[in-house]
Amino acid sequence: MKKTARNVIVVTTAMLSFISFWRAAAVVLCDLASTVYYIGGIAEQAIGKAAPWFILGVMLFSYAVRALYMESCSLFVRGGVYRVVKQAEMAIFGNRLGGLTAKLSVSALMFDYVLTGPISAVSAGLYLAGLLNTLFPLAHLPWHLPVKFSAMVCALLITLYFWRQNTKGVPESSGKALKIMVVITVMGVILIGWSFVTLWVRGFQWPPIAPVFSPEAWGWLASRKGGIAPLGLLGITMAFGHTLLAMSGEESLAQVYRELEAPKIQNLKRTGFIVFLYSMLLTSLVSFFAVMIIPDAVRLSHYSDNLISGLTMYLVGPYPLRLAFQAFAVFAGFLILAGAVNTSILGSNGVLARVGEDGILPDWMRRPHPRFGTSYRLINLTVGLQILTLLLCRGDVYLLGEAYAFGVIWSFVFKSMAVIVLRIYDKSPREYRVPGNLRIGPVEIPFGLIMIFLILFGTASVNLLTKRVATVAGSLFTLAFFIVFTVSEQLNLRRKGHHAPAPTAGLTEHGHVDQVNLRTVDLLTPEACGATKPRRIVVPVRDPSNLAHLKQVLREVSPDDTDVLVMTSKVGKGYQLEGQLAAPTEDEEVLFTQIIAVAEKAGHSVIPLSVPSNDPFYAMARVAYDVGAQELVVGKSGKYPPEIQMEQLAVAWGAVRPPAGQPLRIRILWEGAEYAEEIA
Amino acid sequence: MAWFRSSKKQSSKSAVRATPAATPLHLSDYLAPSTIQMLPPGLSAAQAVERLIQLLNLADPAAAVQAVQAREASGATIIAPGLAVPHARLPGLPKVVAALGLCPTGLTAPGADAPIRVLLLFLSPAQQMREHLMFLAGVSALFQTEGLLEALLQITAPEAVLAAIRAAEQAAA
Repeated sequence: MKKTARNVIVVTTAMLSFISFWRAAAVVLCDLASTVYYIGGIAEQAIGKAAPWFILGVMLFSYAVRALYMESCSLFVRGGVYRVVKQAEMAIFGNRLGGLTAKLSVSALMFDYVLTGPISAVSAGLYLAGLLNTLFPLAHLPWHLPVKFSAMVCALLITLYFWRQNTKGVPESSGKALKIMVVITVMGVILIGWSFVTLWVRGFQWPPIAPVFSPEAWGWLASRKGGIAPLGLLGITMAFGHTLLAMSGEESLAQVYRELEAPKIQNLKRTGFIVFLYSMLLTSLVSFFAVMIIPDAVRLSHYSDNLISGLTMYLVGPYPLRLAFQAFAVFAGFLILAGAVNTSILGSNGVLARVGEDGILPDWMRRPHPRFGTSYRLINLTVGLQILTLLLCRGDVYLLGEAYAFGVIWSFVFKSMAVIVLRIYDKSPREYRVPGNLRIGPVEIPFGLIMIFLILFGTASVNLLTKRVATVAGSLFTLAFFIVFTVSEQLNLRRKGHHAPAPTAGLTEHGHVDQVNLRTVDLLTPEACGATKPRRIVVPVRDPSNLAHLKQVLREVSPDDTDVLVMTSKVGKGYQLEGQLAAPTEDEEVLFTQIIAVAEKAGHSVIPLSVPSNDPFYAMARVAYDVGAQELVVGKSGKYPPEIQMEQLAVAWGAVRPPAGQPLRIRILWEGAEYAEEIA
Repeated sequence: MAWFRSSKKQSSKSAVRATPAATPLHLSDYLAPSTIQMLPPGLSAAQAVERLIQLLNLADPAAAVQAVQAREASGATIIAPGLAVPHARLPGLPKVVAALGLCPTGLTAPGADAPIRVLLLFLSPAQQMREHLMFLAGVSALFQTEGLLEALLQITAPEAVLAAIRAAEQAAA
């Protein structure tokens, strides 16, 4: 009886799954489109009935911010704020600033993520409490929930639920996100359609364009309000700043890009367009309808915290039908807002993971959960801060909204500045560039990028003066996080003896080494290593800087019907495949990191395996046989010419397979050339 | 070079043929009592190769010796401890030919980890790389049969060697 590969290590962390652009759009929209449930109320409290116009302006501007993210993603697979800002800083200052701007920007972004969860969860609680308070009298129940307190309790429960789910590991939640978006779409279509009918029956008036700022909305400019025209540049910028949180969630585009299936940039373009169109229509139309349909007398006094509930109750039609629709809208809202809590935990976890990879967080913070394999300590940090925020705000969604915009706008400012810097310093070709580039002779001016930066920077600067809560809370939080990052980085450096990381061959564009979770498989079978598709290709790798054959395979094959098993041989002490395995060596970690990076860039999942063996050819054939592979694709050996390499593989294949076994196609790839044979 | 082609010309998917389970290669089909020889002690592996080539009645045995030596210079093909498979591809050869040499005391071979006691020499047509590889894989599969190598070394008559190989092939099938 033939032997089977034993003690094979499967790198479970790297078993990435990739998603379609529809699913990616759903994930982003779960964050971005959830703002429809609270932006109208918060914005109108600050700038009056003109809020819908400015929300529309923000949603249109989100198209430009989307372009910004697409250019950064075309540069880096993990092209979030931290990575892009750090690369830009390095381009100008080298190592002299030590990642100062990147740490500042990511601290601001963390403020965004920490508040996204609570504002969404509290909003969900407010809608639920509002609905229940409407239903209790109808059911002849003498109850009335304290709205804000109930919202806070509900928000805590939602947050704790997703904390538990994320600690256990959410396998891949894009399917749920898609279902939520289907429900929201049904709700949105009914709401928009019904609102049009209502306006047609009752007639309507457009909301005024000029903002009327509330006393709080003037912030530190209150003493100068006489000199500020509402529709002057400063007035418009102030109003724009007060509605900017409508596009919070764009950063999720960068987070989801890693998981997007091939062709990645084309799919990112589709994702971005769907997100833009959907959020623009839903968020701005609903905001207009709320102002145009709900009477002024009750809109802010009764429905500022649950504007969509108010809208449903003032549509034309019988009361029971409107009430039923309100219940449906609250149900849909509960789903998307809860989804946004999940997205905030996932997003924040992703950002902290990137930061941790750069040695800015202590290694123990990144260590995977022993049972679930999740980065549970990073999750605990985010959720801990979210719970603290919930307890401090006590269900006041306006307070949260006021504070929220700080992180959103400043992370955008840093990001846009960084993309401009990289455009100047990094001339490497990009698959996507923000449009609006003026060429004057040999010089290209990124006019489009500069305009985006100026709008963002202008808005952020004005927000600093007008949004006091945001400025104070955001600055303190950002400073605190910045100090934590800096101190932690210094401690890490001291502990590691001030060793600058040695330039390791084959390291990824991220310049870090991924921490991976390993699972030992006693006997190698397709099921044991997670191979489920009808075709299987084994790709042996050894040198992290020479993965051209893996890249070619990932370009050629469809992830829908093919599992790609990337194997590396680990020299064992025993004979053949009986070697003992310990934790991965440093070299293996670098190799796994590079494999993960290649898979991410291609948008194709891979199954990395480490196989103990004292004969790499035998190990390759053994794995190919055990997993039932149809193809074995190797890079060209530096030691043997391809025909001898092929002979050795033929000998090894003969040694492992039964006399009348299935054939194996063996391909040797190098420098655009290929030598392939099928051996039975 | 015939085996070389641009990777752009053939995609991986289109290249995969739905080949059914293969017919196993029978080494016994390539051997005859006249191409099996008991080698005397004291021979070097290189001398043994020359002797085996003489058994094949080739038109140009010197060219065959030179081709095998050139291939061996890139590395010997050792399928199992004590079993070497010197080989080469020759232009103009109509089909795969093979000869087997047995030397229980072992041949002297520079750089070999263990003494070579079984020498299976084969030559294949230069243009038929697939058959060449199939032969190698088939031989490798056959000599995974437990005890076959030792059993062959106990036998002194070529006919009995061939019969033992046939028996092993039938058992494996």
